[in-house]
Amino acid sequence: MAPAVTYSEEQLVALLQQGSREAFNYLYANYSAVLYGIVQRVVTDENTAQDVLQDVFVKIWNNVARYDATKGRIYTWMLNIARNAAIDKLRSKGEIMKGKIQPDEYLVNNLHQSKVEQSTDAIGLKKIVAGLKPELYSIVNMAYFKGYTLDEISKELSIPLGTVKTRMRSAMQQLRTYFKN
Amino acid sequence: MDVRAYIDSGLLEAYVLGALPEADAAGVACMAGNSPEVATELAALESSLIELSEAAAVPPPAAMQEQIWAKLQHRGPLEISRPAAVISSEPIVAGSHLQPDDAATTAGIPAVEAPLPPQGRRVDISPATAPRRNTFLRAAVWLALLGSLAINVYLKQDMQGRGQKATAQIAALTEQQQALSQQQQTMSRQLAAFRQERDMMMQPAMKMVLMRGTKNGQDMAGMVFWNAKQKEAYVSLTGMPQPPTGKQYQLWAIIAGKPVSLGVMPPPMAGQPGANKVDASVASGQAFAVSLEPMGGSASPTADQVLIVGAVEG
Repeated sequence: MAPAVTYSEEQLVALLQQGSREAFNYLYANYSAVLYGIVQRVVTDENTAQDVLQDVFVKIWNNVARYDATKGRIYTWMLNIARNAAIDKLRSKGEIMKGKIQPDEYLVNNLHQSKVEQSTDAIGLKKIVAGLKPELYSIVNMAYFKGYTLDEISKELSIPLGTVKTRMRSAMQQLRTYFKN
Repeated sequence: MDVRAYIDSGLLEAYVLGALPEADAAGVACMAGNSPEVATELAALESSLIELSEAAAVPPPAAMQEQIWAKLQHRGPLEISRPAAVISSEPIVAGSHLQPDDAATTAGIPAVEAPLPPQGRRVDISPATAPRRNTFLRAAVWLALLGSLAINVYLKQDMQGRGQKATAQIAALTEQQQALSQQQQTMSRQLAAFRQERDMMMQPAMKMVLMRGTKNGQDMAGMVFWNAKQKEAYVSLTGMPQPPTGKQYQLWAIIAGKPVSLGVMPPPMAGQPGANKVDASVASGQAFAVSLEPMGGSASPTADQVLIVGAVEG
């Protein structure tokens, strides 16, 4: 699966702006799995996830001209498009408002129910998560994969806003250490 | 506000995780534009998040690649350039089995005309068949002519097309190269600005005041760096939109509850990274604010036009 050529982020932007088949193939080969992973983690339903992934590619394709390199990496820009599209879908279905979520169960459910579990990549995620305290990962998960704001997390978990921020910081610090090793 | 405390607050994590409301997110983006430490921290957080996302990667079903490509063809920006390509490629199909050679065209015409004299001599005798034959021949001649014309047009277009394509490619490459070198220039300029700012911010007495939008739904933010000891202040409008024509931003210090003008800011400053030194000396103040005023500024801020405000902490 290793691509024959690896482009730098600047080259990738220039390539995408050409809108060629090669550009698409490169984009797809290198980023579709990450984008799909995020989308699936957010919306869980496979058919919905596939619809959202299509929209994500359309958005990337049509908006790449408006991507502003001074505002951050193209990779982050693409991840955010995927995340936002998936969360919008989730919200439009009203799923995010459904029911209360138990923090610990939340984490367990998320890892054990999703079909993602099968792939080796998701095992990678599991390993990372195993190294992270559940109360830390659940906050990252709620924010990043479920689109909760600080306030919403604080209300949902009945913990003070300051604690949410502190935990976010610890969680990200631990992730950083993990990825460094 | 001290940068270290800001970084430790967890706000940057909330920002990269997408958990901040818009106004706060604008504040973080503005801080990142003004503090290299914050920018570095954000970049590191983004990398971790990319790695977390990669750990969650799942290849989509194989059929999706073609599906998505088809969808992009329907809606993508390519749509505009497609019809031209189709038109110019049509003669290839129609004429490619004919010899694309001028000699063939001239040779083709006599070949068609040759059977004509024996039949054509007695046109009046067999009026029923001759015109039909004639029509057929005429059609054949026309067809041959059109065919040759098509080939010529195609060949010419093809040559032109290739030439144009090459020229376009060269132009695109040159443009790309220019864009890159421009980018590099911008970046080194930004880096220099960052360095200067870092030095400025390293001054122990330097206070950072983040000014936040006063109006809901408006994504605005600015920063004042203030060294009360040296009575020096710097202002950054990274998070501000361009002011409308005929207007400019004016900076105010709130001293004992009253706004005191620190001067107007040139319109191009808005949205630019980096901080500019304030000419006026700033000895005291409890807060800073920016308002939108007519060119030249006002004696006191226009009510309702005070767009961002930030209190001095500590």
